[in-house]
Amino acid sequence: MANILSVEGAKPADATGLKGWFARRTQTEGGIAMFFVGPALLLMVLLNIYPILHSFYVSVHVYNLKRPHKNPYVGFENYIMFLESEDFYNAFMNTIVFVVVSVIAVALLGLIFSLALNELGSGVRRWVVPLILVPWAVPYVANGLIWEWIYHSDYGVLNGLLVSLGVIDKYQTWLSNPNRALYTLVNAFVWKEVPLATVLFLTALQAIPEDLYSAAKVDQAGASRRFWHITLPALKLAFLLVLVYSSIISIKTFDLVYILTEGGPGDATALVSWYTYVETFRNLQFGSGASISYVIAIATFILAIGYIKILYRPQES
Amino acid sequence: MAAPSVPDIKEIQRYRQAALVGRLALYLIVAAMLFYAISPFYWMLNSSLQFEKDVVSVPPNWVPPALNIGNYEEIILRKPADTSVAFDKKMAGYSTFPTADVLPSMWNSFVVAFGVTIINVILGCLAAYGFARLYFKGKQSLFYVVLASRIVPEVSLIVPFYLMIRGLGLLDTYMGLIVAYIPISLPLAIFVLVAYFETVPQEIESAARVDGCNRFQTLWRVILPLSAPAIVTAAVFVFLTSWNEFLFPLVLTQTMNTRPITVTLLDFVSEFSVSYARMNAAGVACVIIPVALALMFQRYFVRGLTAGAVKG
Repeated sequence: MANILSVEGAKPADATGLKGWFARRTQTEGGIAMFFVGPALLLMVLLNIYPILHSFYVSVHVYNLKRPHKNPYVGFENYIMFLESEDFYNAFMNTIVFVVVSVIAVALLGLIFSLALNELGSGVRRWVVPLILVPWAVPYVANGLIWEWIYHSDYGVLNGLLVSLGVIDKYQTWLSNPNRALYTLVNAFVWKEVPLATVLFLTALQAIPEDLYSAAKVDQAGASRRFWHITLPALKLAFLLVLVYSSIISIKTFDLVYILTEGGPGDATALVSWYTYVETFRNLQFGSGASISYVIAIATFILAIGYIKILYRPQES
Repeated sequence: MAAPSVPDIKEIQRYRQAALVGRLALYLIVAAMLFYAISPFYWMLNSSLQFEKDVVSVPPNWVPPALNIGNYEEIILRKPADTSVAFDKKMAGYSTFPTADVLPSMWNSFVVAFGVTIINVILGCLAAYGFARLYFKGKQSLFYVVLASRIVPEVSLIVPFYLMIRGLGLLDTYMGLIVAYIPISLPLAIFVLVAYFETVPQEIESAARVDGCNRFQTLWRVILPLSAPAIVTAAVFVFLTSWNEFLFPLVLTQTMNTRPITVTLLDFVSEFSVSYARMNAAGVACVIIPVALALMFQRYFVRGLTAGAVKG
């Protein structure tokens, strides 16, 4: 086995059979790289790229589980059909509200949290950061369970707390109130995603050299100018990561909807991923379900590229 | 604004007071943050330790008036019902009295998540070394393709996956779930590891190469021992992602042989749920391992992420 991944160029390439093949493959760095990168790439192609392509194939056919042996090719009919449907339009608008509010809240809260943590002494911070991070670790299903119980209209602690603080005078509905339901989802989402954003911002904050601030103080720059001209620019990359990551995750949000609202009341919390799920597994229209997710994926991709274009300038890299 | 060369006593006192107020405000903010992060967990735990009649009291009981661990006994010891369930129970109008599938499904979650972690950390380390240290054609674009492939929503992959897993005869097996989970967390494992490997000084590696180590030995003896934070980060990340997965097991498992805790939890969250106390106890069972892992490895985790976040 010693010669499989040997120092390149050290072995003769004229051996025959399997041994010879290995020897020849390992003559160049590119050949060696395939032994390292190959297994992961192969699995990603088989288990990710192939299903993506397969799902495109499904998306241009009628794929109805009720008639499993009739799958005619219909071109982009599935796409046209859902793009014209009102349900999709509703889900699309809900998703935009959900994503915009969630991403802004995650970024803002993450920024505030990290600025506060950065001011703490490192001894205290060591105890606080792990506790702040905990919501990030739990499954969305459990997250949904926790908040469903907190929001409960008859026994929920949110009502109990607000009543005992005198904010409201009687118990309210949250999840079954069409005007509030989407924001209750946002809250559950933000609660789970803020910790990671906080940690990303915090690591970037701690990498800012202290001299920069001292120098700015010598130049008599006030706190707000130091923040705008030193702190924020240093957080650019962290912002990029947080925005891209939380956008992608929020567009995909499904588990929370499943547990908390099932798209209801009415269709007030039907997000595109939920709409896709209903189309696929409740209406059993696999073809049309696949076409929707294709459009979601492409839209997400364009959004990610947009962020990168705006925030990531080549001269910084 | 320039400070006088000899500050008088009053100035110092005023400065001290301002600093004290600032400190207090800071601690208040931090306390609010902790409340925000932790109180939902407290509420779940609190409800899970009460008798049903106390759980549904108005106003709520901020602490259990009488401690009751019976809910945990109930969800752990009750005999399981027949759970050869369709993948979408709510669709099928399926509703059961919550049963004691909690421990077996925690075990299922653990086995699958552990398997995926081993596979993805090994594959991730190999691939990350290739991406970080070796030159080959199309490296950059391949890396981005691997990362970008995760943008596609899971909902869209589930149909091809269902057909594929069924075709392989892996429905309702651990292997089927492991196969389905691998691509979900592998890209991020590679991303974290690449960022960290790139911070290991090239000179150390060159020295090892001069001493006659081949590429694999270099990775094993030089890079990996220096990269513990990144490896732990990747492992914890993969484990949590796999433990938390919901949609894939919802579709790919059919019986208690493989059903993970995230899916079993649905039994307790039904709108017609019999017991809110037991629902919360089941919730605690679902989060206890992820929470413990996050708390144990948090320090590594922050360091492992740092390389990626600061450098990109």
